[in-house]
Amino acid sequence: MLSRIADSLYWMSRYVERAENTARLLVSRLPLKTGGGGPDTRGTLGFWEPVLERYGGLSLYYSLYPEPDRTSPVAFLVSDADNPDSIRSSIGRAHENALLARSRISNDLWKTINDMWQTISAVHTPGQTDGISANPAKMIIKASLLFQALTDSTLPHDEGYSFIQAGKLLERASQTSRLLEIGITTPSPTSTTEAADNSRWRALLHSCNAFEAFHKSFPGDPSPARIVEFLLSSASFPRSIRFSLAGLEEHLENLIRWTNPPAAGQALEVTATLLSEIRSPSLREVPPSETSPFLASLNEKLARLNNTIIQTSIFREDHDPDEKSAQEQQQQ
Amino acid sequence: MFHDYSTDGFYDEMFIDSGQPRPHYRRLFEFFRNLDRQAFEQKRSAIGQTFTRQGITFNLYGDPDGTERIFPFDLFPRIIPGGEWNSLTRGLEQRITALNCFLEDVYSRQRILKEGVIPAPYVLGARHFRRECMDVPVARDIRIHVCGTDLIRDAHGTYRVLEDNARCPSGISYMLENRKALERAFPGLFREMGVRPVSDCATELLRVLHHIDPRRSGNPTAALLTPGVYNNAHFEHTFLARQMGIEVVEGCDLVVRDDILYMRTTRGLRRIDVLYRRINDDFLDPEVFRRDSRLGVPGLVRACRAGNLSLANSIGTGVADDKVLYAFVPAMIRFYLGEDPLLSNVQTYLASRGADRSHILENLRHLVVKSANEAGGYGMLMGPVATRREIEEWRRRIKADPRNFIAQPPVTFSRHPTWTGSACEGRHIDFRPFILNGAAITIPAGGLTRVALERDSLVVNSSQGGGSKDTWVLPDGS
Repeated sequence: MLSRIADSLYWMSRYVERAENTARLLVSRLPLKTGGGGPDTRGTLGFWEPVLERYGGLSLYYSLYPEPDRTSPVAFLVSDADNPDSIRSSIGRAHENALLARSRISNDLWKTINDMWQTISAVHTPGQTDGISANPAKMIIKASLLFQALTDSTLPHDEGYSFIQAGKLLERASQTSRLLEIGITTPSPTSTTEAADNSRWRALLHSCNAFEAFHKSFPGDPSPARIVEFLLSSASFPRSIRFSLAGLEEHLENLIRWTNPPAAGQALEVTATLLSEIRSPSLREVPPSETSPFLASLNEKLARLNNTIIQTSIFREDHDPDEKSAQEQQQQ
Repeated sequence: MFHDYSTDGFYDEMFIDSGQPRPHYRRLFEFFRNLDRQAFEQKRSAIGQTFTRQGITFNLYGDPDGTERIFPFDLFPRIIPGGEWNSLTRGLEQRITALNCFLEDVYSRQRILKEGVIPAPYVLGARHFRRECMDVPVARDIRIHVCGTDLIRDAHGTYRVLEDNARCPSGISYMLENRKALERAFPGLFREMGVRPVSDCATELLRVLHHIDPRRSGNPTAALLTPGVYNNAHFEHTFLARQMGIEVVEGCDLVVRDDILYMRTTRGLRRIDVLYRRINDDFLDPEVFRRDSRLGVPGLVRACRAGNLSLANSIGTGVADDKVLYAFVPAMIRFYLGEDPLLSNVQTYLASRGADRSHILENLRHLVVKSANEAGGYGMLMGPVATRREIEEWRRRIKADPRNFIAQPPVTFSRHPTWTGSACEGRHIDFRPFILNGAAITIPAGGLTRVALERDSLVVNSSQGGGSKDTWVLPDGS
């Protein structure tokens, strides 16, 4: 397979996964929004700030929305083309990578990504996001699941498939880690009552699609410590960081077996080290409120792992933006 | 559907006169007359949705948003009777054979120049003449492997060649997708009318690519070179590559080592024997052509010269597209084949010829002036509808660089019933069949009928408000 195509498959998959996670985060938080319409209150802002900080950045947010209202966070996260972490931006890049790898993916898979792009790029009316905002996000979640199913059932499970899986799993690990960070640091929406506190942990579980799975694993013990443990190191829940990294390990092994790209071995080693850290029993003794430094360092390591995978096992040359106009002129 | 349809005095493909269909359209006429409006609209919107979902779209030049649009598609097919098609294909075969002889000749012995049939400066000074390719042989002496010839029908219904596109013509994928869409919309009609299929076109194209394998190994690796996703034909590039089962490569995937072209794969470098390139000559190889190009790959021309690589189409075919040399195609046919041309040109005046030039400059108001080397409907003056200022501007340009301009009397293209959104009206159309030139010449039975969707417009280019129709070729004797 062309190295560039492998690269595109990897990023296509990462961006679809990223969009799905952003969408789920949004949907899980919308019921927590309190109060009616009108201007923003400190409460809602404080509630969104940890999210906005990690999905685009607060300074970008305030420069784009100098007078934010209740709908601004949603617009920023869903449809804002200026926010590189919005769902729209992620799907845009997934779509572009799918175009690059068009000759390698099945027609059904392509249509699914194209549908996602058509849907999300049609959402751009600021001020109208309230009320309708959850719908595009819900559609993205469904389409992403369809994307996973089509990947499994319409593509050969070969090298390309493993690149797709590697992209998805690395992104999933880093997203779950981000969602955990947000869950841990978000202040309660209106008060510090126990009910409000519960609702925030519930939202965290929902944002990872883990609500039911968690309650089945730990019936009657919804303590924050258990929730954090579950999302970090469950051996069986598919969105836990541990589970994602174990999957990544498997696909890196496949790649080594099939084409043995030069530094896949290094990527595999890093993955194995991370896995052993997460499996370590000492991690369980850290109280949830103090997990943040661990998560921050984990995220850094995942970013480095990503660089190892793309810079070494996948050949890549940077695209020059000026190339676009030269490309456009080739026609007859 | 056809109640208020009027031919308005134009040559109409479907109607002899208002209300009276030509014999080969009679069945279609009955069919659409009995189709109720709602069913028609349903089929139309279903096709639109399919095209959008598939991403059968193109980007407009200079559109800052890079907005994707679907290629507008009209539900009424254009029909060509079997006999008419056969004589058309004979003309097209003759033309591509002569054009290929011409290219072989001008890049080697230049007999046609030495014998004075074409004044040498026209060829040697042509913008797309590539002196870098002088005396560089090509596999099997074939230079044009894929040609898209634009034909129109004049006021009397006579087919005339408007231009030959011998560089990298687009449109095969639209022809195939249009067909797929109409087959879904009107499955019964195809069977009943015996419409000839176009579907094995990609197989034929692959056969052509294999035929020019420079190593004659019997199992060459072919790839399609695309400028990238921002090119408005990118859909077509991936479509054709998928149909042929070959890789779509970009310049950054390629590398030349020891005059052999390779692509970078996850298993290492893999040799390419035949490159179906969809990039213009200028951008192919920065060692030889534009130094700033990053779309191609350094060393490509060396690989061709060393006989390690075949390009489809070959470098330098653009000289056959030059609108000045277009005027000489009938002469080429006589010179190389000793035959009379089967297909007519449109009458053409060359601004570089003294007598023609004064005629052009005196009659700008009544002529269509074209630059010799523009494609896509750009660089044209429509005299009859131009403003005084435009006319003067073009007068200045023609005087400054006469070699670069030709003029033709305005030809009215034939019209075809076309859906306008609220009614069925006549719209001007042209026709681009595709000629594949390998071990034999094959012409898929169909092509791209392009339609100017604006009333009275003659501009059929998709970049400027044109749409397309499926083209049905009927069996012999129809």
